Amino acid sequence: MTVRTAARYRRVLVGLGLTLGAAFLLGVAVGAVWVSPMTTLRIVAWKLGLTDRPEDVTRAAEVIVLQLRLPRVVLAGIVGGALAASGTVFQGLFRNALADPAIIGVSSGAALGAVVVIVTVGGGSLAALGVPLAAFAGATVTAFVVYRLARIGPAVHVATLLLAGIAVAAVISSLMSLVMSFSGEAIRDIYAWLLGGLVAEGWRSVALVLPAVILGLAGAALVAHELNLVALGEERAAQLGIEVDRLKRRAIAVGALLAAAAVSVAGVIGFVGLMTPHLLRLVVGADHRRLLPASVLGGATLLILADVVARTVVAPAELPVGVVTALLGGPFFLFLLRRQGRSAGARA
Amino acid sequence: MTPTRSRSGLLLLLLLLLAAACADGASPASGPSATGASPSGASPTGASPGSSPAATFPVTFTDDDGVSVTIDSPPERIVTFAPSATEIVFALGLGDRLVGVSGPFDDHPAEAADIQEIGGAGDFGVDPNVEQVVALEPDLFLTIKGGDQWKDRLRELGVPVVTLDATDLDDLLLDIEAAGRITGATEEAAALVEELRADADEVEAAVGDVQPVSCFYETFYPPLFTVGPGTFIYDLLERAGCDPVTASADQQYPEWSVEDLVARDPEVYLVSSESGASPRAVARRAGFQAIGAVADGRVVPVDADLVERPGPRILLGLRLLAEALHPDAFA
Amino acid sequence: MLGPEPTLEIEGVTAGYAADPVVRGVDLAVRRGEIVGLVGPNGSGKTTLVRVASRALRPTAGRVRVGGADLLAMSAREAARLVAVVPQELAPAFSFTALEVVLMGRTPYVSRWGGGRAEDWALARAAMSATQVQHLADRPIDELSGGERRRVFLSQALAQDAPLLLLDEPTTHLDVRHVLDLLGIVRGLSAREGTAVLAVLHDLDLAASTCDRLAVLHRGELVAQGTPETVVTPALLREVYGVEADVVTDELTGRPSVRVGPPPPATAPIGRRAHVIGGAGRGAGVMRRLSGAGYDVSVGVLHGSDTDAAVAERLNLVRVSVPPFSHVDAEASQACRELIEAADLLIVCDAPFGPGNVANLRLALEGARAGIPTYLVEEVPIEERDFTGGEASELWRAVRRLATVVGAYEELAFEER
Repeated sequence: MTVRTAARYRRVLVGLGLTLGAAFLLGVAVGAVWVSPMTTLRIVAWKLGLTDRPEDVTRAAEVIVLQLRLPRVVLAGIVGGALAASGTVFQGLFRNALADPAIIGVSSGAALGAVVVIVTVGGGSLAALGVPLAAFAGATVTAFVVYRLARIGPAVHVATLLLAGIAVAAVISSLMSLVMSFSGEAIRDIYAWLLGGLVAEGWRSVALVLPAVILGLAGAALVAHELNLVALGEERAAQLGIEVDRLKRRAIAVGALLAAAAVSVAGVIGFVGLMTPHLLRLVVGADHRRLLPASVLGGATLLILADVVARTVVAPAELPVGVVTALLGGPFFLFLLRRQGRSAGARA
Repeated sequence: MTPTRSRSGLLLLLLLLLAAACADGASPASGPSATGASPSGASPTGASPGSSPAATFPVTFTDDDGVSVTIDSPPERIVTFAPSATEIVFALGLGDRLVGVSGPFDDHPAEAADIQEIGGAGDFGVDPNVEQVVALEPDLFLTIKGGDQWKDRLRELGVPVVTLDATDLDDLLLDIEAAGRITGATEEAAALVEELRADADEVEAAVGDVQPVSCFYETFYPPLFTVGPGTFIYDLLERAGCDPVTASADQQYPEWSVEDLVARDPEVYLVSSESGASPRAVARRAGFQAIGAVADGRVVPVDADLVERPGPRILLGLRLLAEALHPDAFA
Repeated sequence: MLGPEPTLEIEGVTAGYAADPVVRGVDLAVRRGEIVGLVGPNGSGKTTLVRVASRALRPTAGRVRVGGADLLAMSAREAARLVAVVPQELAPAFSFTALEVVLMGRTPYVSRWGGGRAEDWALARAAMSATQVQHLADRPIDELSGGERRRVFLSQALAQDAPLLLLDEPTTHLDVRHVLDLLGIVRGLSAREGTAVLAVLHDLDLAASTCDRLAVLHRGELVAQGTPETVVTPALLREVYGVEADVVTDELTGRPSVRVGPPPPATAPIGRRAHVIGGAGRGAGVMRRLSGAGYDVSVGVLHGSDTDAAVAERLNLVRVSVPPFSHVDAEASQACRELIEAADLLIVCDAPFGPGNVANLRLALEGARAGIPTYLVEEVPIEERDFTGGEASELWRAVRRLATVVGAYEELAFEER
């Protein structure tokens, strides 16, 4: 927090910003179909009104860049940033670096909410608004339940957090199966939603999710400072002037909103909210006011790159992006779990 | 829990394909081997195919699972576990002997809806209920590929399970003949095959000389799924005068990149009723306007029951496809 | 009691489980600039009462007012400007730096966006230098020692700049020097800023020597309060702690000090003798324990006014002493030398050494050289208690080379005989 570290933090942010830019360019440059970077740039320049329409660019190339790749990369960035921000908030609230929205079941809760809406109103335009709202409701309820289950006295222990997450996820998974077995014709819409990932709606998804994510990020920024004090325990935070219950409600709402926004357009994607804040905490320190912006940039970069891998390794087929993040995040999670277990053991 | 979450995404996909396959008679498990040495697996002993119109029993028969089955006498109590098998049994005039069908997808002919359903069991709700099957005391259980575990169980319990799994139109005709032999309805089978072959010849005569159009067959979206070579549908598409743009696929039912679809720019876009999207919905999707078929209004909904179900109505499906792809040829 | 206006007023407070309250009907006031020690045996409700005063626990009955305002009715933010708590033991979940932790103490003053106003930074820095942790500012809190971390949290509480300071067992896990430092800081703050202090202290002597008033909790009820002299009495010790003890006046502080009576005589080891070189109370514990373990204990040379001398007297130990403020003379040295030569064990305590008693270290060195098993206790470095200008340090180091060195009194273990 000295002048020296403030300057260092600015450098880290600039570095993360540049990395995100590079990931973005890479994301737009590669895909199942080869469009040269030069062509891509010329299409974008034309669309921005900087040049006339390039003569030699095919309609296919134009559509691929403008309507397929750009929205997908932008969406991956928004979703990644939202997941990382959600992870930052939940880790702060749970006082635990393993609190990822997917691990604690919040993403599953959001998915259940979405599926219920799809079953009741179908996959049409009503669902376009209903799915995000129901996802938010599902995520919020799940977060509260897991928080209540995981907390024993003042602390949230790794074991109880994971057990609560597993238990809640199991219940949600059963409910999901139940809902789907009663879904009839809607089953197709459910599958389409569950499997659609980042592909589905292009710029419409971006337009749908962006306001919610902006709102969520503003909320996260609002609770960031107070989350710092939660690291000292709820009682100590209260002694230092924090209305802890109000903060908890806000933090859960903010974390759930960000997770639900991500889930409602991209389905359940794990580990982005786990890895990003944890790694960046090592770089920028524990202060959530610094960690949050860094995590948003880092999470956006991570998911854009994961999506690049997802849609290139088996082209023209594609992998669900969640498979890629899980391949990265699974070992990371196990490493973290082992380390937390060891230090908990050392303390005991 | 995320590590399993993404896997369960794949699982769901598998399930989806499995469900679709069971409903429509195209098994995802039917590999390229089915098109190999034993085209239909119909290799009865004692009678050479098609040569003897009179039914002879007992008949010993190696089915498409490679399992040898002996049917002692003409079956009186038949259970089918695939809508295509149900249609074949009815087409052979044996509907009154059918005592069990798989489920609500067995919707043709209309009488099939009144027959006892035996499906919906197992982890994914796509297996037959073994107890129910045994209670029906069938002397023939006719089905398609897949479900080796419950098939073994049924065989252990003395149920004569026969698997007929068509990989293309010719294979289907052989399967219908085989079904006739094991049910004693050889004459009906021969007549049906003859009729189907005549219809097929007629379609071929109409589109055989026209330039094939490029097409894409959508089974699901999003993400976009299609059919690849080696599937019954793919064979039908080719017969209907079309070059699917998915010829390079190395899977039977691959996920397909929209980018690649836009770049390949098919002339006709076929949407299976399994996918359920209307031409308007397809046109609204991000990037799809750039596809020639969409721009030209050549997005065609296809009745999956006719095209994807290897049964006696398949020629209706073939004709439907051919007309959609080459309207001028049928003018 | 008349005096400055009360900063903390606890009135009729009952708290804990509804059916079985931990504290019942407690009335207690802490005035501006006053240090009140909350004492009582384990489980008497001290921590519960402090938690009520810090709003961590809502009382089932009664009122708590700080600066005249109802503490339970105000916002957490307002309360945090009035009440600062030094917590018992905290392990932050993430690696905040010490400065970040101290700055958290400014939370009740900063805006939601938590800007680093120059004033907040200055106050945080000042609080850190008051507790001598400014050099740790950029160190992660989880890498600090227990004592350092405790001082960082004291800084955090100081940064709150509140008129009431609550200390809950502030000395647990601290070594003696840090205890004295911490209490010194608190006393200075109280005197300088008029801060009212309520401190839970388990060490009755420490409480008596540090606090202006003591409040004694027993089974959840306040059984006595007043100056240490009026509160710490044998009758109270018997009633509350269930011990027979003397209360003497500490020569150094003038405050009452508890002298728990000698334990029943142990089966004395025939001919097992130990000699203790102490002073300034540093030998008292060892003498009690050796005596309790059945050793024939001798001690010397002590000044007549020394705490250790009083303890030795009460324990009825063989002792060599000289009058207060005199030097150890040849006669006393010789008497002591004979005791050391006859001993099977020599314990050298980390007492302060000046010209008056440095002769003890010469005697210790002779004994160690004569092959008597020697234990040297070193909780406080010799440099900090050498008032001879270097002679004592030299002798100490010489003894040290021949002795078994232990870092804390607890590490001394005596065979029960």
